Amino acid sequence: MDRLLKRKNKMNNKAILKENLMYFLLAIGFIIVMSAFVWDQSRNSALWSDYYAKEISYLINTAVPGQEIILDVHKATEIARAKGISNFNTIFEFHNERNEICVKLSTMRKSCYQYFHNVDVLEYEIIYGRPVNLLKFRIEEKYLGGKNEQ
Amino acid sequence: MNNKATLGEQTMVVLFLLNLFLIMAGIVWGVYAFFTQDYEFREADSALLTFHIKDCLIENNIPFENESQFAADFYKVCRLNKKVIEENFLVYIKFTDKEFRAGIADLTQCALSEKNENFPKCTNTTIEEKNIFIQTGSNQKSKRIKTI
Repeated sequence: MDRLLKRKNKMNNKAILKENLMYFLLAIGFIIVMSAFVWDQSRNSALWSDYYAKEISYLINTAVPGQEIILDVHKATEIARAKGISNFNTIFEFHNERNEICVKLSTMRKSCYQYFHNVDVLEYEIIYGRPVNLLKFRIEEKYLGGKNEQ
Repeated sequence: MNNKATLGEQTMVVLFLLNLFLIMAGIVWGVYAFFTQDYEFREADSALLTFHIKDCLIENNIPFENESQFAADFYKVCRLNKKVIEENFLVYIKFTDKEFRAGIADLTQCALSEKNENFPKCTNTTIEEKNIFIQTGSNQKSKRIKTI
């Protein structure tokens, strides 16, 4: 009698497990798909190019002529690489004649933002892997003699 | 096996999938609402401009004989780009009996900026010792330019 009851219980447990396995697998699949979606969206190039353009303009607005600025732009280079940009020197563009910085993290679009501080940004370059990718540029007095773009 | 008895359990799958769908719709809506918005920077820009002007007016004595003369000196001494200020920012400086305005919009829009997202975000400050009131606003949005 006791053995029969144990066997019945074991069979019941198996049935419950089988029923719940489908729900469990569906839930796991759902979590994986949603995590991949959120991860992909968090690397949205439009948002990050907007972010970098604005933060760099803020730095330029607070800088003083003669200052050299070195920025960690590793995240930007990672996103740009994922979006098909292999030459990282094309990611950041400074247009001194318009007081504007443009950031391009995809091959399709770039985000541009203007800074009010009347200075020039010169000698900008990407420094690779020290240990992360860096953007270096220098702030100088506005050159008023004509076009002064690097 | 009693199939009628399992029918209730099988219909639970539909409810389970409906639940997942509702959660998914919530996550997708939330993610899009967060990641497709512009990075809001107008208030920071305005605060920085206010600080920049305040610092400049404390450090330098810019005479106010007439508005155009003051404007020329103001942009030069404070190292501000006139074109950028006039296109994207608002600057209002009030001295004891004179005032200087530059840029977009007007002070009413600053006062109503909480009510309308399209109005500039503004900040203000006062230089007590010189009795100067400064208000600035920013309505600059980043430009998205197609590269191909």
